[in-house]
Amino acid sequence: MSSLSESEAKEFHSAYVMGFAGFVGIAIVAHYLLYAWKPWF
Amino acid sequence: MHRFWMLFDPRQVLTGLAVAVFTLALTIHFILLSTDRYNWLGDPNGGGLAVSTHQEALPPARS
Repeated sequence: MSSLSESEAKEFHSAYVMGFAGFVGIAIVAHYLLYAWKPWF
Repeated sequence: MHRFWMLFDPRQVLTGLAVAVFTLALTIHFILLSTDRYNWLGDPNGGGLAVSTHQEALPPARS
């Protein structure tokens, strides 16, 4: 159990989702560039 | 979904995630470097200039 309150959990969750979306976006761009360079199928 | 962070400590989750993602990234990069097709630093398995496997003709045998 963490010691976060519900509002703190909500606040952290929104930041976490933004960071995750950024990570996925960068990964999609990286995969697009790699596939353009040398497609693997 | 946000109740997840009431169950698990964000500090521990972020640290674990960072270690896991970094290890995975390092593994994938080294696997790609070990292949001929996706090695972006050259072709170590293609036979470079440093090591020559060419064998010169042997001198004629003396009897």
